[in-house]
Amino acid sequence: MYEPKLEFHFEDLAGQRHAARLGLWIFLASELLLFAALFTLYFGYRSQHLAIFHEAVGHNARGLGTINTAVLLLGSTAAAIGVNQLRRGRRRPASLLFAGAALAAAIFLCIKGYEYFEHFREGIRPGGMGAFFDEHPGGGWPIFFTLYFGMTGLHGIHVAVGGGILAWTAWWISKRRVGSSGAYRAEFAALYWHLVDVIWVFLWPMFYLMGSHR
Amino acid sequence: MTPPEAGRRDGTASPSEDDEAAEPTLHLLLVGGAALALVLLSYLLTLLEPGRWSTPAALGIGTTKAVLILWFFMEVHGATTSIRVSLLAALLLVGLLIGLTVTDVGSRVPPPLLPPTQVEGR
Repeated sequence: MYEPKLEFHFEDLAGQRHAARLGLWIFLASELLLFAALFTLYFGYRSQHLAIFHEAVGHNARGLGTINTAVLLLGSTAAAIGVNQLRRGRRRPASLLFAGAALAAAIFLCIKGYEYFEHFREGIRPGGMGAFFDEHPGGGWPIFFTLYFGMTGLHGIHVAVGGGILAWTAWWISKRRVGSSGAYRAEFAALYWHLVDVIWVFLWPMFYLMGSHR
Repeated sequence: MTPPEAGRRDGTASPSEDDEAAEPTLHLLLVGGAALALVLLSYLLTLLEPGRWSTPAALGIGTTKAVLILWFFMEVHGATTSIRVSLLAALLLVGLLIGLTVTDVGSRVPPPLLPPTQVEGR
C-alpha cells in the first residue's frame, strides 16, 4: 500500500500537501499567462481583420470542434470524480476513471489530427503557405490560420502531455495500491487536465464559433 | 534517521489527514452535465447566426464553463487564500494584458498590426 513520504523539511504531511498544491497552482498560473499572450495576439489581429477572421472561422469544422469540446469536458468530469473516488479509498474506480480521462485525450488528438489533415488537403498550412492563400489573398487569412495552427498546436501538445500524465496516474494508482492518503498526488494530474480544458473552452469559440459558417 | 512515513514528525497523527473532504459524486456529475449543456447551447446559438451577438454570447458561455471547472473541478471553492491569490493575480495579469493591448491596437491610427506595404522601387 502506497503512503506518501514526509520530506525532511516539512513539519507534517498537511504542510507538505499544501506546499505541493500551491507550487502546482503557481505553475498553472504561469501556463495561463503563456496562453494569455497568444489570446492577446488573436484579439489584436481580430480587431484589425474582423471581416476576414469572421469568414475564416467558417472554414473550421464546427461539428468536430464541438465534439472535441464535449470529449474534453467528459475527460475533466472523469478526472474530478476519479480524485473523489480515491479520497474515499476506492482505488479501482479511480484508476478506471483516470484511464477514461486519458482515453478522452487520445480521442481529442485523433479528431484534431483529422482536422489538420483536412486543412492540409485544402491547401491551408501554417505561415500562409498553400494554394488556399492564392485564392484568398487578404492579409488576415494567413494570420488567422497561423494563429489557429500555433494556438491549437500548443494546446494539442498540452493535451498529449496531460493524457500521458493521466494514463501514468491510472497505472500508478492501480500498481502502487494508492489509497486516500495519496489522493493529493492524483489531484495534481487532474488539476493540469482541468487547466487544459479551461484553455480549450476559450479556443473553441475563438476558432469555431465567432464567425459565419458556410 | 529515516523520516516517519506519515503524520507529524513527533509521531502524532496529522490533524488534516482528511482535510480534502470528498465532494459528493452527484455534485460533480451535475457540474459536468451543466458544462455539457452549455456546450450544446453555444453550438445551437451559432446555428441561429446571432450576428453581432455571436462573440459576446460565445465568450460569455465559455467564461461560465471556465468558472464551473475552476470552482468545482479545480476546487477553488475550498482552496486556501494563497492559492486564491495566485489565481486572482494570474487572472488580473491576463485581463490587463488583453485589455490594454486591444485598447492600444484598436485606438491607434494608422492600425499597427496591418501587413507592411510594399515600398515603391524596391
